[in-house]
Amino acid sequence: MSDTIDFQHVTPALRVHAGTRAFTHLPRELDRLGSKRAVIICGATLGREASPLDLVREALGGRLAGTFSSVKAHSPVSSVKAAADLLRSLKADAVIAVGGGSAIVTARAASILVAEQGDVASLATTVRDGALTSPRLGNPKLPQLIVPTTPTTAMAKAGSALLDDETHARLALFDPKTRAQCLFIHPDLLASAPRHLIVSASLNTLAMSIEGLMSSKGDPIADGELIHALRLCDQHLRNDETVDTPKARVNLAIAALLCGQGTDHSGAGMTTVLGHAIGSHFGIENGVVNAIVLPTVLHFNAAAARDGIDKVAVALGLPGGDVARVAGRLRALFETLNVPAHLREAGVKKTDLPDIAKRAMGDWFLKSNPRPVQDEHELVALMEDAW
Amino acid sequence: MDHMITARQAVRHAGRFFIGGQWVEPSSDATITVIDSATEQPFLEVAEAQAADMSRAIAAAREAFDNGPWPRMSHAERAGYMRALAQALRKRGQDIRELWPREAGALATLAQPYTDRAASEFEYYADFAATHAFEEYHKPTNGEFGLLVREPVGVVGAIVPWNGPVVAISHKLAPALLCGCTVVLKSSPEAPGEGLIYGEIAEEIGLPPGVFNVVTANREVSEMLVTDPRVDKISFTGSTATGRRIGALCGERIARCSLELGGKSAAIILDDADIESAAEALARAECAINGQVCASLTRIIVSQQRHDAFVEALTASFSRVRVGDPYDSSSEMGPLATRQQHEKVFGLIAKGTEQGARLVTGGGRPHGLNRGFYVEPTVFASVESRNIIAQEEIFGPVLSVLPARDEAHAIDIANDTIYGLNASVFTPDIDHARKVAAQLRSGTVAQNAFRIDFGIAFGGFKQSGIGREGGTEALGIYTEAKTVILDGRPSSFIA
Repeated sequence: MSDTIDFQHVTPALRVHAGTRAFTHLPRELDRLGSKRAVIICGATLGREASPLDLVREALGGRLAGTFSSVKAHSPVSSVKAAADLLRSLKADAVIAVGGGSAIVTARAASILVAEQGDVASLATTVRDGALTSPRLGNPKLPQLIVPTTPTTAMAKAGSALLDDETHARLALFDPKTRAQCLFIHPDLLASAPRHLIVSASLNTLAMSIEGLMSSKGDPIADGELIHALRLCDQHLRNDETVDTPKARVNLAIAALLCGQGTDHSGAGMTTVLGHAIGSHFGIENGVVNAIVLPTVLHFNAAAARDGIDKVAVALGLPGGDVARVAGRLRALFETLNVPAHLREAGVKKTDLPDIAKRAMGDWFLKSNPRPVQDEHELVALMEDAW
Repeated sequence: MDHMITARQAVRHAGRFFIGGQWVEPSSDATITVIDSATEQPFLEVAEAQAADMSRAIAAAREAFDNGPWPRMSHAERAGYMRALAQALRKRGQDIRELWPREAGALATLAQPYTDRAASEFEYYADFAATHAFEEYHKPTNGEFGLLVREPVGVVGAIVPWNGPVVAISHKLAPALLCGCTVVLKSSPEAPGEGLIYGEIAEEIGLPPGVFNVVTANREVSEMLVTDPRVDKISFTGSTATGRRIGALCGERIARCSLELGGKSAAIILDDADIESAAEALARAECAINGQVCASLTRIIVSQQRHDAFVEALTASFSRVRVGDPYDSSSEMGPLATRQQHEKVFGLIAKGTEQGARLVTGGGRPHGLNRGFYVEPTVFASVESRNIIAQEEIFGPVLSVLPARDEAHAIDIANDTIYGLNASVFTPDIDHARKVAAQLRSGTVAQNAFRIDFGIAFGGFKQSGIGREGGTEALGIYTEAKTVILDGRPSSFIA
C-alpha cells in the first residue's frame, strides 16, 4: 500500500433545506432555476385533499402548473410514460418529486422520456462485455427537486430502475442530469410514512453504508459520509420509542442522503444483492432482507475487508474491529426493531435458496463484493446460515 | 483436518443413526457440519435426520415399548444393563475429550470428570431398583387391597442442549431406563458427538433393540418428535424460548413434558458475608463451561454501601481468569460454543451499556485470541434490575452487580425475573441463609457457593421449567401413577 492517498471525488451540486421552515426557501430555489411551471409528482395518498402535500402546494402558489398523483410502487414503465405525457402537456419547467423512492424515480425517468427520443428499452443501461454501458442521454433535462416522505437513498442518486409492465424485468436508466438539484427535508412530510417503512428504508441505508465502507472502492470523503450515515441510523433506530419522533425521521433522511452520496463513490456487495434477489420475490422489504443477511455476510467478507470492519466498528462506537462484536451489536439492534432473525421467519423456504442464488449470481453488484463469490453453492451455503 | 480425523475416531458412526439397535443409513444425504469453537473450522460432520429418519426412530422406540422385553423386565434386570452402560461410558472419557471442548468450548480437563459423573448417574439410578417402591400398598376406601403402581410413562423424546451433552443425556436416560421407558434421543446440531457415543455403548452392552435411539436434527424435524402421537413424553433441556414452543405443542395433545430451561440466577451477598471470598467463589463458578450454564449465578445483589468494594473484588478475581485454548492445561476458560452465541453475547453487552450499566472489565475479545468464539470475562456494575443484562439469560462470562437498599430489597430484586432456577445466599449465618432461601422463588438455593445437586433434585420455578430432574423426583417424571384396587393381596406384591 502506498503511503500517499490518490483519489478523485467529485461532489455534484446539491442544495439542502431541512426543518419546519424548509419550504420558505422553495420560491427562491425555483427562481434560481428559472421555473414558473413546476409539476408535482407523487402517489395517490398524498395527492388527496388535506394531505401534508398542502404545505408544498401553498409554498408554490402560482408556480404550480399541475400534479401527477398516480405514482405506482416499483415505478412501472406505464406509469412513468403517463407522467411524461402530463409533463409535456403542462409544459413543465421543473419537477418536484414528493414521496419515497418510487416517486423520485418516476420523476427522474419521466424527465428522461420528455427529453429523449426512443422507447425506454433503447435508453436503458445494458451489460456489454462484462461492463455496464449506459447510452448517452445528451438532451437537457427538467430540473429535479425532491421532498422525501421516506428516508430513501434514491434522493441522492442519478439512476432510475423501472419495472417493465409485461416482462417484470428491471430497466435501469442513468443520467447525471436528473440528479436532484434541491432537497427539502421537512418533518411533516416525513411524518406521513408508516413506521415500518421508515424502519425498513433506514435498515437499507444502514446496510448500504456498511457495504460501502467494506467495499474495496471508496475514498476518505465517501468514508466520512458513510460513517456518519451509519452512526445516524444506529443512533436513531436503536431506541424503539424515538424512531417515530420528527427529529429521528429528519436524521434518518439525512443518513439516507449521506449514504446515497457516499455509495456513489464506493461499491456495494452481497447484502444489496440478496436484498434484490429476495425482497421483491417474497414481498419482503429490501431493508428487512438486508438486516437478516447482513451479519452472515459480514463474517463471509471479514477477512477480505479488515479495514472496512474497523470503519464500521468506529461508526458503531465499538473499539477495534472484531467482526463478532460488530455483528452482535447489529443483531441486537435488529432484535430491538423486531426484525426477523432468520430468512425462514420472513417466509423464505429452504427449497427456495437455490433459485435465489441463481438470480443473485446474475446481479451486477456481486462483482464489487469484497470477497469474490465462487459459485451458486457458496451463496446457498451462506444463505443457509442466515436461514 | 487433523481435528476431522480425531473426531472421526472418537465417533465411529457419524454418518448414521442408531435406531432399533442398529446403525442405519440416513434417508437423505443431508449432513450437519460441526464447527470447532476455538478454531472456527469444521471438525465433525454428522448425518442430519429428515422426517423419515425421525419417524423410523420413533417407530423403533414405540415397538420396543409396546412389544419388546424392556418394560416387562424387573427394575433389577434393567439396573444390570445400566451398570454395564456406566462401565462402558467411563472408558469413553478420552473420546468425550476429543468432542466436547470443540463443540462447546469446555475445558478438556473437564471431560473425564464429567464422563465419570454421567456414568455414576446410571449407577445411582440402578441402586433405586432395590430401594425404591415402584408399587405401594394403600388401604382403599372400597375394596380390600389398594396399590399405587409407578409404571413407565412410555416412549420418551429426550431433547438435549449443546453445553454439556454427556451429563444432559445421563440426567434423562438414567431415570428413564430404570423406569422402563424407551427413548429417542435428539442431539443438538452444535454438539451431536456425545449422543452417538451413547449409541455405540448401547450397542456394545446389548441393550435390547429400540430401547435407545439416537438422531441429530434441526428444528423442523425435531418438532416432529414433539408432535408425534407415538411419543408419550418429552423431556427437554434448553432455552426458555424453545421450551415455550415445546410446552405449547405438548399441550395440544396433552403429552407429558418436563422442561429444564433458562435461568438468570441471583447471588445475594448479605452484609455479614466476606466480600473477598464471595467474589472469588462467584468468579470461579462463572468459569464453568465459560458461563454457558443455565444455573449460572449472573445477577449478584449487594447492598449499596458495599457495592463498590464488592465490584472491585469481583473485577480483580474475574479479570485474572486465563482465557484460552480449551486443550491448553493453563486455560481456565475456553471459547463460547458457536458464532451465534458469540454474537449474542456481544450484542447483549452493547445493549447493557446502552441501558446504563457500567462496564467495569472485559466486554470484548481477549487480546491475542483473534480466532475462536472467545469473550473476555466481563463485569457490569450499578446494574438496574430492569436492564436487559439483568433480565435476559446471556450464556457467557458476563456478571452483573446490582445494588440493593437493604435485605428486603435484595430479595425483591432476586425475584424480579421470569426465571427461578438457582440462587445463592452469601452469609456465615446458616439460619439467616435458610430464612432467605424460603423467600426466593428458585428451584435451588445454596449458601456461600454455586451448588446444584442432581442427587437431590434440579429444576426451575416460573419460566425456568416444569418438573425436576435428579433424585427420586426424576422417577416421577418418567412414570405414570396407576391405582389398582383388588379384592385381596396379589401374590406378586412384595412389601
